Amino acid sequence: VRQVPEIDPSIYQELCATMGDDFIGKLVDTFFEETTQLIAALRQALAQSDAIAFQRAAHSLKSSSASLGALQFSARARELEMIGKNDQLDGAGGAVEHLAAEFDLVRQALLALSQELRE
Amino acid sequence: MQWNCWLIWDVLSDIFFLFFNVHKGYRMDKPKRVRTLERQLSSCVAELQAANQRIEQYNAELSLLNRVQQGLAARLDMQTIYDLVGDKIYELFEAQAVNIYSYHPDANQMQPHYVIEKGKRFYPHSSPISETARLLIRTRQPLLVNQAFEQRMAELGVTPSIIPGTQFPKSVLFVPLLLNGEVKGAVSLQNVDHENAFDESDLRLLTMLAASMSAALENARLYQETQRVAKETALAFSEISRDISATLDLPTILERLVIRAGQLLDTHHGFIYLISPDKTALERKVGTGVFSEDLVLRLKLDEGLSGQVWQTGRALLVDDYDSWPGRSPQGVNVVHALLGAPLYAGTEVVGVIALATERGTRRTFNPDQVELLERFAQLGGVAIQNARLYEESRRHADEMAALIEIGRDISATLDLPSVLERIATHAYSLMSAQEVVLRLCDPDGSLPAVVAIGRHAVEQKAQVLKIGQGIQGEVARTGVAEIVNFPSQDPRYLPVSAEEEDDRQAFLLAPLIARGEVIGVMSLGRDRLTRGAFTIRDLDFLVSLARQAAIAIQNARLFDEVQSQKQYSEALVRYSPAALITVNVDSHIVAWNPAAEKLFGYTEAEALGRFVTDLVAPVEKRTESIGFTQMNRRGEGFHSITQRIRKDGSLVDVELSGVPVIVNGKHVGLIAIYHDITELLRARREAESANEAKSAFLAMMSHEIRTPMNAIIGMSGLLMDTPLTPEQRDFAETIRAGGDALLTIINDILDFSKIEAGRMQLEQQPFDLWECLEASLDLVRIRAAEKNLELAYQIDPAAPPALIGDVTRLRQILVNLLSNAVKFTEQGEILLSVTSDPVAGNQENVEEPGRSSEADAASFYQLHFSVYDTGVGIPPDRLDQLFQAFNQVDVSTSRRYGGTGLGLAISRRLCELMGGRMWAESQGEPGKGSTFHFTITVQAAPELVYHPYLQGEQPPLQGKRLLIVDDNATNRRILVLQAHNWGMQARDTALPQQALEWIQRGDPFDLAVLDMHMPEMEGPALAVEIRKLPGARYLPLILCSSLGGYAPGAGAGLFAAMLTKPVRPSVLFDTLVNLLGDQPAPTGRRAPVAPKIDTEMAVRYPLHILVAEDNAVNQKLALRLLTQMGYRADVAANGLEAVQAQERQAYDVILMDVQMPELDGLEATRRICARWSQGQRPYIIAMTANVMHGDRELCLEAGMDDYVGKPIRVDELVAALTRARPVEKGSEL
Repeated sequence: VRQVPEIDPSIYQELCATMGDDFIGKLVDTFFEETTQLIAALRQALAQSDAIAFQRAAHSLKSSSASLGALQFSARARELEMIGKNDQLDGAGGAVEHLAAEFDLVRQALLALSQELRE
Repeated sequence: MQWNCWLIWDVLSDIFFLFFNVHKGYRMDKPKRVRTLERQLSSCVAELQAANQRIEQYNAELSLLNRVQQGLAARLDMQTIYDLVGDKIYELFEAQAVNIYSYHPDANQMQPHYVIEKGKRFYPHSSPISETARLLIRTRQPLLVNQAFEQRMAELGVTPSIIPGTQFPKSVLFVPLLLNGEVKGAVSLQNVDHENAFDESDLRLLTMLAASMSAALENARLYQETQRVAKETALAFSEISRDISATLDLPTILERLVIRAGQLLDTHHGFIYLISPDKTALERKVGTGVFSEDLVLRLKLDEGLSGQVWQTGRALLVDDYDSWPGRSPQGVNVVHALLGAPLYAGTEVVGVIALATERGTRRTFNPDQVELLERFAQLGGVAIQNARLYEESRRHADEMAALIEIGRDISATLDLPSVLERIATHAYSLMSAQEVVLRLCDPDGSLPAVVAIGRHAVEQKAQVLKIGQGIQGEVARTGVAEIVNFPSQDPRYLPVSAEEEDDRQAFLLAPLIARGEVIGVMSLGRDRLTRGAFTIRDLDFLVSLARQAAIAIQNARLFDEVQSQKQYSEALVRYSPAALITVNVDSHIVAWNPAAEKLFGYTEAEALGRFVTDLVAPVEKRTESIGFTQMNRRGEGFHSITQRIRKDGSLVDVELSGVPVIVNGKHVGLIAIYHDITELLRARREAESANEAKSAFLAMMSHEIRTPMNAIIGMSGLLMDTPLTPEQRDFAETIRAGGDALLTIINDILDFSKIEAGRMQLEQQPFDLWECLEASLDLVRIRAAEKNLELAYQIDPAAPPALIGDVTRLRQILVNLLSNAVKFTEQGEILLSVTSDPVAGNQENVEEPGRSSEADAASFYQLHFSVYDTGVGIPPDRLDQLFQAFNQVDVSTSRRYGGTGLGLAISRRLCELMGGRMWAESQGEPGKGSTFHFTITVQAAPELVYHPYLQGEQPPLQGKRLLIVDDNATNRRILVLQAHNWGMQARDTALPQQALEWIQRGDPFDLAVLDMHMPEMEGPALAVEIRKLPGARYLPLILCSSLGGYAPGAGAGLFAAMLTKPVRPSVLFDTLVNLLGDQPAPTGRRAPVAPKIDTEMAVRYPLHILVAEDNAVNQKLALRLLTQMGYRADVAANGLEAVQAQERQAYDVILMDVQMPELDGLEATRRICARWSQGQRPYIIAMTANVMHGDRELCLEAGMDDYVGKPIRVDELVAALTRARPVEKGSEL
């Protein structure tokens, strides 16, 4: 399997091995859907200066992405979680957009991986 | 009543009989006795009858009077009284007509109030007084005419008038209405049909009624009069109030007060004095009548009537003013009575209002009028007060408006001469001044007039003053504003012209104060006689004006200064031959000078807003540049000889200096100065080519030397393995040691030469930070152990474990610092610590479309290493020289400790090459040691090795209680921190005795780590003691020692494991897991094979499971895992649903996410624990990705039973489920 920096291959492989590839395909779809919602929730929480909602969304992102092996994304989500926890939303806009950009990478990487699996 | 009582008693029986018969008018035969009796009785009875009639009549009269009076008592309206009495009379007497008139002889009028004839009311007009009326007025007696009315009246000299067509009455009764003996009117009864219609009793009754009516009428009249007067006064007062509150203009109010007071007291002579503002005199404000021409404008406070009133605060009436001893000599001679009353404002008398009568009238004022004026004066006082307050606030508002206007005007320009001119002009017009002078302080102590307008302008400008000289100079010196209304009496006064000396001048001066410093003085002058002296108010106003003026002057001056500074700086930047780039704290370009444009080829427009590293750093200098942006963020400057890239892609050699920019104490960015040193370098390279050749030669030579050195070292080592005599062995060891030392020196020289020659190339390879540190420590471990030094290290858990960089060079730096530390420390400890900061340089750099640079920057870290020792220390003045080549603290050092002195110079150069810097701290005191710091900028790499000991809480170790006994505080702290990170509970002590006490008193421990060498008791001896305690017979013990191998002596065999200091987390982890965990945890690379899922799990451990998780991905994952194990789990999306689900069905296990919306896992657990008792509630397993301290404790405190980390690992989940037991359904409700 090709080395994809956005996804830790060992976690992803273990996941596929234990859960079954079909299930992982569905799980990845769920992940895309949920992550899109959660990023929107982050933006909204930011707009409303709601640190608790911000933290919760970031926490959720952190844990689901880690499950799929998107460790870098997860680490970034954890930073956001800390931002929320410390109530330092001011100026976090860049970080949220950064995360959103990171998500694009993760999405591409996951799509590429599932493509490879199918082949 | 004269009748004989005994008779009645004597013939009692007959009386009734007779009385009855008499009464009935019976006639019958009577015996003689009876007749006598009858005769006697009849007279008695007659008398009795008459008496009875009189009594009845009196009673009737009395009751009538009573009723009338009762009726009258409540009536105060006169017509009501007339009507009431008239109606009663008409009802009572058999009169065909009743008239009630009032008489007004002065007006020759009689006015009808009640006229009734034969039941009909008439309302005639008043008429001239009749003759009958005159008769009654004269006689004041009732008049009863029962017959021959005309004749009878004629006898009385009265010709009664009659309405034509009517006839005179047959009977008439007049009763006069008397009041205080005067006839005020009359009531009359008439009967036109019968003579003798009225008798004496009628007369009497009517007289009494008339008297009652008179009294009632008088009461009513008095009441109405009082009412009228009160009403009039109230009307007057309200009118006056309205009148005087209609205006707030004081003169108008005063005038109206006097006029109104005059109207009230019926005079038009009056005046008002008010107390002067300085309260030294009474000032005439208004005068009317004879006082309108009176020019007594000021009175002394005790002068005249007004003075007395002011003094006493009470009204005063003087009847004959001319002869009154207290009169003012200035007073007029035209008044008779003079009445004054105080004008109060609150409790203070502010003036006097007075009214007078003319001398000719001899009229005075009565007490009511005195009181009236007093009351009126109260009203006036309030009005005056209001007007004054109003005037005050209006004046204030006017002044404020003027000041604002002036402020606006003088701030409108920043040109100093215009500002000064405007200030002077405003002061001139606002203060009715005739001259205004503005003088500004010169640093040489002079006080030149910079602006002078109005009179004496020329003279003022010509007059040179020094600070302290003249009144203006004095004000400039003291900074205190002054009024000088009589300058000729002021010794400081220096007239500017002879004309000024005529003593009509008044001056007002105020200092110009800016930032607490007097910068000048403003002086106003005017003619006192025509324009008035200056007052305190004027002074206040001028001070305010001066304050504003000073600010405006200061602003103008600062503006001047800033302008010239700015022009200077701009010129400097513009014409600077060096490229100057200003960046903000995020290292985005905010200014770009022409030289920069020339150097880099980008125009200003192209450069502004760009991230500086992206724009001008070539790929190979990117790390260095990122390091600089970090320093910029921290407000640090830097300097470097480096290379930058032009727009056309060509490289240019530059000398780069970064200078932090601080504005108002706040770090706002940095100016980067780039000198194009291409030419310079070329020249230098040429000059250095010889040097380089030398270095190259040296490098080559070093290599050439190294080859035979290896032979020497290797062979001497082999030699020592052969049988040797002690002497030969000693020789061989010396050769070996000498070879080692020589090789080190050669290596240093080689490195240094490489660096100097610019040939040092750094690797960019992934490496493991922990391994690097541990390898470095390994190299000094033996030497540290030989000197009995504690060697410890701690690494920021946030530091990325895998990095990209040159691990060899990093280790070289670390070994250099660590071996120096060991070398220069005789006792104590050496601590290596690492902290990490992500480089957040260009996250916001959205203009850069290439995302890759962002990702790069985001994964850069700055690592900060420090090596602390407790050695000899370094004198502070030597700290800087440490890093110079061939330098040691002093020459003796090299003799004592050896070494080339190149190590630190090389290390510093290496970390500069790695985008960092190196420095040292020391107090220069032996024992307090020194700390060497260095930083490097590195990129994080994908993790190479799985480090479970880096991943926070560790299930096999969670909650285990660790006892740490070590006399070294640093070691204890590191062990405790590490244990906490893994979720263990650690207790530590420096004292073995303390540890023994804890165990003895039953504190539970799962494991103990004992230090080998402790002053009080050595580790093995402590182990022996611990084993003697009953509770610790099986407590696993670990010995921690600087030296490898098992310790000799008693107790050595009691240890389950041995750790070598510094304790590596990986080794510690493995040791702890081996001793405490059920299975060994993997510490090496992650097993590539997937864990096998036991599909029969649910068969062997049948459990009802609820998954409470809001995150869809994790929810699905958990369900999938469970499904694969054969479980059919239910799902709750938050804590609330979890509690509700548990209410519906009793679960054996709840996998509970900690952070959930609505109700988090902790609170849900608390609710479940509150509802269901232990044994009946489910086994709650926390699922959380949190690795923060205390989270696990929080879960346990909330009542959770177990814990799995996220992402969920199969083995963890299996272990947790295995620990769960099905809830006994039988005991359920």
